[in-house]
Amino acid sequence: MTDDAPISCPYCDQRFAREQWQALHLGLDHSDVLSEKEREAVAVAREEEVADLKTFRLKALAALVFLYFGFLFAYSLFA
Amino acid sequence: MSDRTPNTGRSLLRRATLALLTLTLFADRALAHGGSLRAATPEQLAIPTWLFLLTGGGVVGASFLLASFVTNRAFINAVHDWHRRLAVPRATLAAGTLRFIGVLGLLAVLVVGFIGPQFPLGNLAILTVWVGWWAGYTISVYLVGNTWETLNPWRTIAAVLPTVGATYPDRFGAWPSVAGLLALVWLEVVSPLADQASLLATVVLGYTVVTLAGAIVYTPDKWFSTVDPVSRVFTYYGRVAPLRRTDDGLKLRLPGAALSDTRFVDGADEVAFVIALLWVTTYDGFVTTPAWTDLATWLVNLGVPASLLYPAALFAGFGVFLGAYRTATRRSIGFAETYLPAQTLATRFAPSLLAIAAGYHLAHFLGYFLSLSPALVTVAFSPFSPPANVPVIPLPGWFGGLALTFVLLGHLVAIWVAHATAYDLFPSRLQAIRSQYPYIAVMMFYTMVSLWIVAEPDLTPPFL
Ligand SMILES: [Zn+2]
Repeated sequence: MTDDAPISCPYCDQRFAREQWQALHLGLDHSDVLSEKEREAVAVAREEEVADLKTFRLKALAALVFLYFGFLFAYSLFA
Repeated sequence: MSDRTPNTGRSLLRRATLALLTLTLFADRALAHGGSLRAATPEQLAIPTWLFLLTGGGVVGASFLLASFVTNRAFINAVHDWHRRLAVPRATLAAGTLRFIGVLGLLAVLVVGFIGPQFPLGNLAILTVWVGWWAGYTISVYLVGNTWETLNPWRTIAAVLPTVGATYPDRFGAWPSVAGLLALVWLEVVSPLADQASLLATVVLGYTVVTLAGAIVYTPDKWFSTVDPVSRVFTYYGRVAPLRRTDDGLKLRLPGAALSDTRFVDGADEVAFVIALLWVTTYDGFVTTPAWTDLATWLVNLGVPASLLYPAALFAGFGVFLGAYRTATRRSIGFAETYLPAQTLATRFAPSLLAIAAGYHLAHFLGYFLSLSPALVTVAFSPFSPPANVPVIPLPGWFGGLALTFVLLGHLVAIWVAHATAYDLFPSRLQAIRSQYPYIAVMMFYTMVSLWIVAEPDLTPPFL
């Protein structure tokens, strides 16, 4: 997951723990100076990010449902 | 927690505000004593306390989960960058009027405080400071915009005084204002500042001497922008507001949007001030809980000098709050796996807490301000012979429900501001969400502590 050596940005002094984040940073902050290869990396990283977000949303939704029914249950029992 | 405890001689301010919040939460019976300022003791809870506290924390957590569904960077930026410029003519006349009102108010507080009638509801000094200024005016600062730079009577007076222009030691930074804020709140808690007009006037006079001396030595600009705790409170509250004065007129933004700007809070000293602002609202209520009475009695029986208790608790609590925030920051770095320095995260996320502080302030003081404003107006017209029956508006029962809404709104704005800030800091949106976990945990805990304080019966702090 995380190597000891951080991944640096070739255009500024920021460092990242994951290649994906460096690529996302390139796309956000340096999109006008990227090479073709870097552009591809950005596109891949964005796809991965969207997939990760989808998973997170499902978990968040599950947590919300759990909270809602948890409280519904608690209130019907104790209130 | 069902015992009715008689209140004797506590600050009218705290009693009225706590009564309001208490009524909000526990009963929808009308605020029958809106005028007498007598504290209502908490009624029997309809739900168990633990469930009530858990609900508060749950609402904050759920709001975070809901905010995390907003993942469109362009949308978040659009919300935060949205603004309108309102061209206003250079309002010299309005500024002059504000300055005049400020100085007049200060004079009224000093004169009426010392020689006016000494019953709290009929004394213009007490009503001006607590109802007009600390309740009403402060609300205008975070709901509309910060006008303190103009209204500030000490600034107006300092402007016509000579200055020495000594160099302010930069290593002190904002720390003197942190100490000043804690000192002011300590004074407010341990002395009957809201009940005794002459004492209030003495404190205002003391503050005037210190402030003017500081402005003369270090220049008004340096003093009011750096050292003066009151000005800093309004500067920070003013950032929550939609309106801000810029070089070319007024800038209108969404409420709270300016809190995610970079470099608004800079450095550990300014973070500490934000934390102090949040802590003092809690401290004020904490010392009236039975738990504090028990703890204080136990400590005094152990031989701890009673005079040390309140400042010690003030500093200890501040330390706990600051420690919790710093721990959350360190954890946030772990969760986000970022190489950003802790200082960056601490300074960028601290402003979101100001929305929470404003929410609590509004919950505490809006009803207080509305019900007592007729008293302020009446007494202002006859400061030396106020009517025996000062008019007060009794608040309708549903009004209490608003208080909870304001607390909740403050948290929602804070969560949204932190969300936007995180998106600004991290390239990965998931990283941005994960960086929030420790802060949200602290926020949920803080909500539960605040609700617990409100739910406790309101006792007179012992050993004062
Ligand atoms: Zn870069």
